[in-house]
Amino acid sequence: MPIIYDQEFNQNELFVFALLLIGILLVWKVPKRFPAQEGMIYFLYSVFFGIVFDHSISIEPFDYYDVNDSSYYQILDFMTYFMYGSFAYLYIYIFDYLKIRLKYVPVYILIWALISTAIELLAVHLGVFHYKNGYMIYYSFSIYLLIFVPNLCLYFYLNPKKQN
Amino acid sequence: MTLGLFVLIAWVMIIIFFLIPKSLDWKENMIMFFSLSIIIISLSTVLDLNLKLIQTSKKVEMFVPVWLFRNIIIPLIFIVFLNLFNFSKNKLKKIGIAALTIAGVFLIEKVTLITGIIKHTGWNQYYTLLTIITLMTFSFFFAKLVNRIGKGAK
Repeated sequence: MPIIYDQEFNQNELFVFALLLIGILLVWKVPKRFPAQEGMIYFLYSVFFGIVFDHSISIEPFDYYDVNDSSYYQILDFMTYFMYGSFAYLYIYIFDYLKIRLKYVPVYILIWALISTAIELLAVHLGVFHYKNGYMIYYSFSIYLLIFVPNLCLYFYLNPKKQN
Repeated sequence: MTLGLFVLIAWVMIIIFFLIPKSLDWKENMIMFFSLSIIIISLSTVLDLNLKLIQTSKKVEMFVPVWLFRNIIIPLIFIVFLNLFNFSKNKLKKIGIAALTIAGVFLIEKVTLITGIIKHTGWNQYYTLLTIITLMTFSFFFAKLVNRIGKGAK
């Protein structure tokens, strides 16, 4: 039986729309540092991994959480993944802008994993994610730690000259 | 056995992808792979969870085969199609590549049905054909757009 959490347009929808809008505006407005296709890759990378992880562990046999108003897959759920896109773009953008040295990469990843976990905690509080079957926030923290590493590998693969 | 079979199919698809002549560069291939995967994964969840037209196996031992089928094998079939289709200059070859792609997806679908990874509960082969043609058309035009974006940036 599907679980319905709420049917109103309320805080979880507002949170998704607000973050999506802010993210897209930021990506649009910041001075360009990458060619268009490279920027698209950073954006889509995160949307892709968001969908892969969510559609692997949030459905049976694991079924660790539901996204937004019900256990069904809705348009808003699809839009939720595009929040990740601008987040990943800014992650690489700031890394490139600050010209972070390789020895500080673990600290940089840790900071972003902590920020992502904090945002997810807020999203849980606002009803974007509904944890089930013993899922806990620190599982997400470890997933963020994992996800941010290949993201930077992708950046170095596309920009081999920037490996300082 | 099912796990081994799907690991083998995924491995073969990856090898085929690396061996074929490519009409798209690496960045374009990445963008196409991400975009197609996003659509295919979303579509499979809608068909399974929402519409219940296809039931994916919920057994833990089937998790990896399902994962490989949905996230690797099917998107790669379309990526291989796209590269070969755009690479070929001959119309007859293009038709052959499209026909082979359709046959390939049908074959993989048949394997998933036989091994019990998926079960049709309202879905049929005509829907599969329609989905394949839609995805081929989308990937063809989206690849052109991505290519244009790349050229515009240079």
